Amino acid sequence: MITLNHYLLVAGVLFAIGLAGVVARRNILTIFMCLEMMLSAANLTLVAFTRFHTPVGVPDYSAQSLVFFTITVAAAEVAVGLAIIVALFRARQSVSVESVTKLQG
Amino acid sequence: MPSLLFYFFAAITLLFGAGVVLARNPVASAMSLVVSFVGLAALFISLDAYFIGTLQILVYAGAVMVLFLFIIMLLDIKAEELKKGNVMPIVGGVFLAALFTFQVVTVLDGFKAGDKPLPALDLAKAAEAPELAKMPSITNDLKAGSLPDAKLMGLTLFKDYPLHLQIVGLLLLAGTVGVVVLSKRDRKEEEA
Amino acid sequence: MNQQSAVTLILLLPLFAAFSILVLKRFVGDFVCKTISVASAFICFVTSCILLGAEPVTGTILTFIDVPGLSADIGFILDQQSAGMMFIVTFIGLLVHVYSLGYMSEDESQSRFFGSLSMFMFSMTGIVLADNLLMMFVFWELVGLSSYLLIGHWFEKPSAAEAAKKAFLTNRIGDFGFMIGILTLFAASNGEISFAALKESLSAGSTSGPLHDAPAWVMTLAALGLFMGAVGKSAQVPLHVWLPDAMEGPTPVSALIHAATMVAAGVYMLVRVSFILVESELAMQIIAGIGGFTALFAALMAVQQNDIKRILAYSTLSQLGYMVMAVGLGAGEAGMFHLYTHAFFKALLFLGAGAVIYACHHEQDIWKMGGLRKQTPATFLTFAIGTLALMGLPGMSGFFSKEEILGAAHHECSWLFWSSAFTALLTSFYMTRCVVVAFFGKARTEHASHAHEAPMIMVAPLLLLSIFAIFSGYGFFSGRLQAMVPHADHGEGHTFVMAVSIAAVVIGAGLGFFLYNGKDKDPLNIKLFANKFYIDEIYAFIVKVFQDGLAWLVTGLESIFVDGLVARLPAAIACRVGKTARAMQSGQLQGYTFALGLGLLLAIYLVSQVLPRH
Repeated sequence: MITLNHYLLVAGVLFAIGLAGVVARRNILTIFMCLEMMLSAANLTLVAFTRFHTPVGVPDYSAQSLVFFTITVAAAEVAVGLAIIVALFRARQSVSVESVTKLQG
Repeated sequence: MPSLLFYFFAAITLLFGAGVVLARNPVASAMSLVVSFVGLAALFISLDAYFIGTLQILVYAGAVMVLFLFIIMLLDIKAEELKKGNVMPIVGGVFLAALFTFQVVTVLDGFKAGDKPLPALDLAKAAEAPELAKMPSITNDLKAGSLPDAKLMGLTLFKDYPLHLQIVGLLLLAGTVGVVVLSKRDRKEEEA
Repeated sequence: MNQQSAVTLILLLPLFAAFSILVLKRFVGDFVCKTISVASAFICFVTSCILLGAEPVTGTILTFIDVPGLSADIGFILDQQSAGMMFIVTFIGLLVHVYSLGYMSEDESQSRFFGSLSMFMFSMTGIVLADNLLMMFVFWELVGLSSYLLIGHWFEKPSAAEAAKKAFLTNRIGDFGFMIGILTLFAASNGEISFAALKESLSAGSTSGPLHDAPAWVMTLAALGLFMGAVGKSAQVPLHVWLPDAMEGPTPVSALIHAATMVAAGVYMLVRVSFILVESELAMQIIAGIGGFTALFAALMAVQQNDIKRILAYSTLSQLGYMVMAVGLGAGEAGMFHLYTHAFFKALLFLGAGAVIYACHHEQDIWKMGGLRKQTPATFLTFAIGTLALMGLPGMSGFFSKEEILGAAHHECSWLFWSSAFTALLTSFYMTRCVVVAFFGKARTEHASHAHEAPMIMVAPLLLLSIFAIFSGYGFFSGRLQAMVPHADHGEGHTFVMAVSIAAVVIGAGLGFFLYNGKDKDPLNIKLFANKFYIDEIYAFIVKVFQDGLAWLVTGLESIFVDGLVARLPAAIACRVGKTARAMQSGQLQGYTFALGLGLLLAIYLVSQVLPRH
């Protein structure tokens, strides 16, 4: 049977895949997408915990509220982030992460 | 049977998640991510979180990924060529992922509280809760034996976290304004 | 005045003279400095004459060290041996001072010369009067220093500077052995270093001390250590190399230091510590062997030397060998007797050689002299007297003292006797050669034909010394003046010894006269002797090997430790650390993300594994 640990494990592996993608890929957009994946994994963890913790017979909705807010904020962040990427593209004519080295030093 | 479904959707999520990382073409990455999100939504639904699952599809797969595809199209990004000298990041990424997975497995091994199966929902008892006294729609649903997920979610959001809602609203406003400002071209550039 | 203050005067007056010359040199002229020095020498001589024949006494002048475990003072012993030696030192010292007034009259730095002479007198007096080993060692070193100053008086000449250095360094090697001997005795006798205390410690009977019970090897080590000091100072083989080179110094210096006093200090010291030496059979044999060998060795080398001072230097080596051999054979008194007579006739010979050099305008090669018999009769006469005394002609003082030694050799050890007899033959051979070539025949160069007698101030000491050279062996002179009373018993074979020694003298002289009369260049040409058996070259090679080895070792150690560990290792570490730190600021987004992931993993590890354990 499916226990809480199964869901947590799935979330964990998803997060790991996202982490690998952020470090390994060169295209900024792909990196961004992997970032979203990591966020979703966290959401899955939270939802799993709401379901398995039922103080009054129904799932605990506080964590689900958190998931709600997370999704919202993630959407806003994606919008702004993509706007930045567009501006970056205009400046550098490339979306490779190697071309952004202003943080050096 | 439900466990089979769980494994199926979990597999979809993870496989297409890997596909995001491995695909060369960014459009392929985006598409994989969409399917992965669908699997994830199925997982949410299996956890009786209907509202969140729907939200996932609507917002994430519907809005965010479409935005991604718009940008890819706007910037006309080609597939990434296989360049030399990219070994280090890949090795680093794989190393990180493996180590993290190992740590998760180790931690979950010792997590005894996580071994319990899906607890049953006692809806009759929930109907007796004092704060639901003035909510006939919810209590009726509960007494009828179905979980009014969206309604309970709404109750929690507006009763317990109203301020947070306002703030998130403001955040969205700020985000919108920011996006507009960031994507404006320079006046000089236009006239030149 | 009482004896303590008299001794203090003899010891400290030359020091005071040397100091005042040092200070006053640039203010007053040469004349004042010379006067100070000669006056101090004269006063010391008079005082030491007064002290002759006094009762044996010891005393302390100054407490030098007084700590628990070691008590040494600047003291003095006044007995027959030291009084007699004092007489020789001050007498010859005074004569040399007077002689130098004439010989060095044209020198530029006379003040420095006389100051160094006074310094030497002070140091030598210290050795003679010393009542403990530490004091003797201190003054031993001072004598070495004075010798360095005097040999290197004409230090602008590179050969003179080299010779002074060589003398000092060779002496140092001997002094190292001397120090080991002193320390051995110090350790074995639980902290005693004065002669009286050591003697008491060694004696048997009810008051026997720790030294009496010391094992045999300790006494041998001590004896050999002390002997090393004598080897250095008295120029025995293998440390003989400095004495011929020391002839670079002015001739009065050679007369004073390298004939009469400083080199004799070694023999004097050996006789002083003879009560220790006799405890070790092995050490005595070694001492006798080295002494006899040196005598023969030096005589062989002297046969082919052409510089008049070198000939005399090797002859000094040879006679010193006799004295050391006598000590080794147990006849220390005979050795002191020979030292005493040798001081007179060797000083006479050196001063005479100085007169000859002066006469021939500073020419020292005997093959460039000749016919001086007629040109400088007084010099010739005194030189001949000195030669006869050295050869051991019956009737001269040298005959008596040498016969004593030969007698002891005949009594103790047969082969040493025959080698000493052969050495006596060689001695008379080369001295005859020297006299014949330099004084007989025709003048060989311009300078020689224009030679004239030295001034009276130089000849007077010669005359005085020649009287002593003849008569110092006789009874009415000895006793009071003499350093040691020789034993009257000669044992059996006395006549035989006398016959052999007379025969050696006659054969050698005849051979020398026959070979060299009327010749203009040397008929014999033995390269081995002329080149001093190539000992100097061997030593130079040994030193070079050790020096190169040491340099190689030090270079290796330096490049590993100093260079590598201290200099290059920190540099390499700093470089590596810098490179690693720089990689963290690469500006690459993926690098930063990787670091972030690592931090995350670390945090998870800490939270899940480390914290719950506490």
